[in-house]
Amino acid sequence: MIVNLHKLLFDKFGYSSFRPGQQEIIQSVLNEEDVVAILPTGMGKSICYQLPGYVLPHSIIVISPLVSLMQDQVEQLKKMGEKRVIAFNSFLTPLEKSTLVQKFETYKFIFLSPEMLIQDQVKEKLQSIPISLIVADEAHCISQWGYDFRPDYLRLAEWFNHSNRPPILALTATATQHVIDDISSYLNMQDPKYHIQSLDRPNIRYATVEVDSQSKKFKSILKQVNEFSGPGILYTQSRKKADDYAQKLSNEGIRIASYHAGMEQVDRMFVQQQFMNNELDWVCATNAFGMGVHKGDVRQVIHDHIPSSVANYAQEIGRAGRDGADSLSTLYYTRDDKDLSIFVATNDFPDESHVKLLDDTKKAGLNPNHLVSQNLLTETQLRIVSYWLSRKTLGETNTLLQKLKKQKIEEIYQMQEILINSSCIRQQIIQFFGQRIELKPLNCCSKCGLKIEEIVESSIKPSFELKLQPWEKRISLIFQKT
Amino acid sequence: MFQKIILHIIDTMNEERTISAPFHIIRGKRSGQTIQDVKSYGLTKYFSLFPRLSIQIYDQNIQQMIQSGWLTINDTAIPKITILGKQKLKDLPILKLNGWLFRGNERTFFQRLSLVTQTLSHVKAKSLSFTPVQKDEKIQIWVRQFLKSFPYKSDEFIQSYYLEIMSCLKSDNLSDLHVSILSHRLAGFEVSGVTWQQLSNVLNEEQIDLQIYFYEGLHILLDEISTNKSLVLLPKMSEGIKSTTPLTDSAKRTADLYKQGYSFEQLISMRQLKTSTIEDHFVEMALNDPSFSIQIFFGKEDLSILIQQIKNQRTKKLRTLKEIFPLYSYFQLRLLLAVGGAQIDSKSS
Repeated sequence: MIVNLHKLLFDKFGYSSFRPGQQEIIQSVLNEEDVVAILPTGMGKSICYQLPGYVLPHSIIVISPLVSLMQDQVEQLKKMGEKRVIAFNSFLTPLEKSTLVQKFETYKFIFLSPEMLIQDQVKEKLQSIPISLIVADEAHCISQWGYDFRPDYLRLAEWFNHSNRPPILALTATATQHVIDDISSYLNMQDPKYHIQSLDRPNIRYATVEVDSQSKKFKSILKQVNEFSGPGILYTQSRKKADDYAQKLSNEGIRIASYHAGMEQVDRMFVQQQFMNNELDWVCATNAFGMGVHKGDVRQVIHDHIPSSVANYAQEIGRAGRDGADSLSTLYYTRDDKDLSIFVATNDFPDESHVKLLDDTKKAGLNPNHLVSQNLLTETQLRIVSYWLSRKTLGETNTLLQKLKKQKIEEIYQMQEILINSSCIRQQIIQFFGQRIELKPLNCCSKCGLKIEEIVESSIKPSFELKLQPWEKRISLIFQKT
Repeated sequence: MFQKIILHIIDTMNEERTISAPFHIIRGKRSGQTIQDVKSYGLTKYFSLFPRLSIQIYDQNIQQMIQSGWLTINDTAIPKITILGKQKLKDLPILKLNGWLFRGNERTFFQRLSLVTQTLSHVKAKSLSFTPVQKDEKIQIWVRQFLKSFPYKSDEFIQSYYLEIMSCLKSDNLSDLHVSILSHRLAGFEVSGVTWQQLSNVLNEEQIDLQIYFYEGLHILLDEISTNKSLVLLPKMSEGIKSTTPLTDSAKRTADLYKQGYSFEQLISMRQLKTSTIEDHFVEMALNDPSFSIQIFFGKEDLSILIQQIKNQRTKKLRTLKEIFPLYSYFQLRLLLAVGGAQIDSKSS
């Protein structure tokens, strides 16, 4: 197939060149090979299937495990004028689902959440329409060794187990051997091509700072935000904390707003708009923030806690410096912070009592969803326990869950270890993803030596403060009547 | 103000309903009991004020009011307002809410308004690639169809839309606060929306109070739109927002069958519902339809005398009425209350 990829890239997406690795991946996809592609987070993974979409004749199925990520990708495609795109997830009503399934072949890009894979109507339809490519996005979720295991994802393999299935493109930002092996074997890949890019983001510099109390932590963060310029994201662990920080820091004259899943959807959009329009310098967020925020010039990311895993940490700091310019990631922690992180990470994780509860309910022939409505199980707990109970015995399930829980705790210790030892932070993060780096940038990290003032600019006091306008003026502005 | 609204409902219910009754009214529960409550106590304005209010938030507010000494709750869960509570109630402004008519649909109207405004603002700026502030697919489809039925890319169209918005927001019935909130909840090209938290900081009011003013503003705006004959676009955007049928969907089906001539007993088997549910539907019909006659449930008795006797008791508590009129069933008493008890919305205090 001879296609001028560069012309297509420019015409459809407005880019004049590919980022490292993209062209090779796209070429393999167009050659109908199975592909495992490893790219650093936020560095143009979606082009790898969006562009082939305009070359290949039939539909492209994209399995996307995070609804927010899926919606973001659908929005990006729509923004570019692509109308043949659909997000098929649990937010649809049964009627909408069955109507949409019937029209699947009229869509170029069909995004599915893993839960939708287990629906018979979806399965039947997908096996009856021509498909050019299957994309497993965030493919590490398929592996129980991945940091965000989604059991339903495995069903993908169960369906396309026949020889004339369409080619599969697996995308992830994880390069550990365990995960890569799981991806290619669970998806029954035929002699897959591996395209592995360096996961390092050299323009991001790492600082970790141990403080001895929570109040010191706040003071240090305040000082840093006052001294050094944004735009920046301050990540915290709870909605309440996000609101607290935002309130306190805005009292200090910093243009900041909070962002979390407890806010109205429209309010979240408004915070995004203000951040994009540089009316806010900082957003104080839970991990709900990031997806859908395509702001290239984020100069700082600050954490006030120990992230739940190295992978999540990499994901969050990866939102800095997408324009390639120098950016700073700072993590403040106390010795005790790991306990709080362990609590947050395991609080919602099922234990033996939950397994027994679901087992009893099933044996009694009752609907397990009632356990959720009665607040006896959370949705996450139900999802995890039902999957394993339908495949394994009670005892095996318990053993497995214990193992997974231990692993979650282990991941926090892994993260903490990176912070407290004396080795290079960059090297350790990259090692976590199964790679090594040869060349470190100057001012690499706080362990190798880092002068913050050489990386980020000092902050300039904002000239603008949020004021309401007279309503007539505001409506006039919206319609550019000035 | 939110707590004072609850207080107002409790006060109006006169120790005849439990503490959950105000919750159901504010959530807009479509049940016979709640509908009867809003109608007979004249609380229609608050119906469906916060359709997604959680029981936790409601309980928190009740607890706070108890701690502030505004109300007490007895062991049968009946709330009673205190003297302090009575005083507090005096600062509750008379709100021009019309929850019964809009039932939460005013939110849909604003979603349409917000997305049409954002879209036209970007069209005007010739910047067609933007992230819609309204993510609800149904709203997006509606807005797309609405705009496509007009030459929406023409300056004339955008100008007339702009003028309609300006003319409506100029209405004397809207306060400065109303238009300030409404205009800052809209966004456009390089004009970001303002969050509730930010509005609360700048205006020094609780977020929930600003939201109540916002819904009040929308009710006034929608009223303006339906009466201002010079408007073309905004009336189209408010289609289907006002409830045309005052009945719940289920009661509507029962009513339609009843009008076709089926009897009460036939309806029970046809609809496969419990007797008590069908009874609820009849009470709803009695509450809402002035032409509906309840005579068939009373044989030859003179209903006007009976209704007057009920009114004289000055209570809407069924158990009390049952003790006074033991020969009548609860269902009959509810029908009598429905026909005779409906009153005009009471004002605060």
